[in-house]
Amino acid sequence: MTTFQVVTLPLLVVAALLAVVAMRRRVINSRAGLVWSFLWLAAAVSIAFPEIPAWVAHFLGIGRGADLVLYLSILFMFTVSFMLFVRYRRLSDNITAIVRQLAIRDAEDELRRSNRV
Amino acid sequence: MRGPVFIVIPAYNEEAVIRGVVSELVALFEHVVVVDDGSSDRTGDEARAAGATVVRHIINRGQGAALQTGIEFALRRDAQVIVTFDADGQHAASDVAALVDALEKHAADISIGSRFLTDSSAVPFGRRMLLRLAVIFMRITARVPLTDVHNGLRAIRRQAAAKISITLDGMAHASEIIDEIQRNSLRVVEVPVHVRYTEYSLHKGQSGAAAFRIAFEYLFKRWFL
Repeated sequence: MTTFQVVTLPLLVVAALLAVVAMRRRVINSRAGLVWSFLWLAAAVSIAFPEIPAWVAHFLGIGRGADLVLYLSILFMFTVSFMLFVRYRRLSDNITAIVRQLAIRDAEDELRRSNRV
Repeated sequence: MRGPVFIVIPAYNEEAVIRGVVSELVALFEHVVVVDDGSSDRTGDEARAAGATVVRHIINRGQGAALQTGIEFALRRDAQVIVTFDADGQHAASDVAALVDALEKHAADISIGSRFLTDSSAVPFGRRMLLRLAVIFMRITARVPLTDVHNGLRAIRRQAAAKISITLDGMAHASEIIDEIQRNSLRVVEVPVHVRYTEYSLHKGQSGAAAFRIAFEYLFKRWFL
């Protein structure tokens, strides 16, 4: 085993376990739990047996296994950041809508009260 | 102009100046609404004491969000004309009438104040360059020919105000309103107004790095949202 494998493999196993724990505690739903543990385990397998991504890369016409992993992770990161961005926008818009509704309701209540007095 | 005119002032931590701004306006207009955008100081109390109706955001959401809240509140109270007015004391209450009259005179949906249609020698050099750049930028992106694209003083007819929707909560709303003018084919007229530059308003205002942030926020909305 190379030093790289010795360092990363235990970390990836821990990451996969954390995903399972998060799923059991219902922090993330069960599908997300499976996806995340699958991703971490796939990373672990690719590092433990580099010939597997090398073979897939060769099959797809990409030179090295490491390149395939790099391309896939960049694609994955872009997708995730886009999804997070859309969610952030929606969340932020929703907060503004709530704050606005409260502000208008309170102001109208106050006006109604001061008119009655 | 028939029907009530509502002045809408978005304000965030302006306790030092808001009383003066509101006092000048309530002397001339019956309906002055201050949207207190989650200030941590006494902005709301000061505005109320000076005679404004206060609509309060429980947390800070940005000037664009506060403007939209004020506009919706005014529309619900049957405003026929909505005037947006900055809280930092840079606008003159005496300019408002000209903006409102311009709607009738030019059959416009919206009138926007321009500090460059009058003697603008008081505009500091840095601000002048920045604002000129903003004008060129907006002519390219929105194709609306204005001479001052970041002026907070505007008068909007009810029907137009109901069409405009400000979704950019931060400072890019000024550009967004210009987009909305183009999108809804609103008739726009510019009116010369004076902008008072004080140490306070310059300190609270936008410049340099903020301009890039505003441009980025605006372009991001146009292209990615």
